[in-house]
Amino acid sequence: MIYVYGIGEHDGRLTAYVKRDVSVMPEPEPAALLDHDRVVYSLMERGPVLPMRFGTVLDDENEVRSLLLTRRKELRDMLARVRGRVEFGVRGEQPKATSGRDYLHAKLETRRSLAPLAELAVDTRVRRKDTAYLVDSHLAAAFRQRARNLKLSLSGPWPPYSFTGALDG
Amino acid sequence: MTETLTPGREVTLVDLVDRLLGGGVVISGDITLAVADIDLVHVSLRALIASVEKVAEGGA
Repeated sequence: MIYVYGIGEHDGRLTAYVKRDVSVMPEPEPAALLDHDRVVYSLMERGPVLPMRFGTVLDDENEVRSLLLTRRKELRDMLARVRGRVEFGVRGEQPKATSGRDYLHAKLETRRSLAPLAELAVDTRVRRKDTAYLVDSHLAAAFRQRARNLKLSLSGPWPPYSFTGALDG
Repeated sequence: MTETLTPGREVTLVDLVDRLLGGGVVISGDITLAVADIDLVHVSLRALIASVEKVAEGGA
């Protein structure tokens, strides 16, 4: 089997970054997740890359080539969107649900406190645990500083895990 | 959780799990998204990076 870390470009050609001859299915244990992330992150430092979800394996090289060929347009579009950009995650205070009214109020407060960050981002995604921001690399330092000033809990920079879509057949 | 798992980046395990198992490109159809309940043979990062190969699309 072939394990796929991500898809990027090499000399202008769509390229999948893979590990060949994988014989065991990966288990999502911390060390394996970290390895996947570090590989994708190191690829991102050389050019735009679309991270694959952890655990994506294909049967053989033909499947990889077929994927790159048949999804060429979507992949190119996604790569163009993330080029020169990184993802940050920001965790707002989790509202304490003492009452529905308080909860909504806290939600609104969180959204208001995050607005200055959204100004620095080209896109945002509300995730389960946090909010993800797609930020131009040259604004990354400013984004970090602003999050720090707002005393928000920040994670990243990440490869754009939250800004890649599903390739549905 | 605030420990830094990667130098120069703020990476917590919670955020890592959330992104790697809930984000990234997902392919439906004939491609397997496999997370099996068997141990992954641990490979060092150096070996991993060195072993990452490229499969490029033919033509332009």
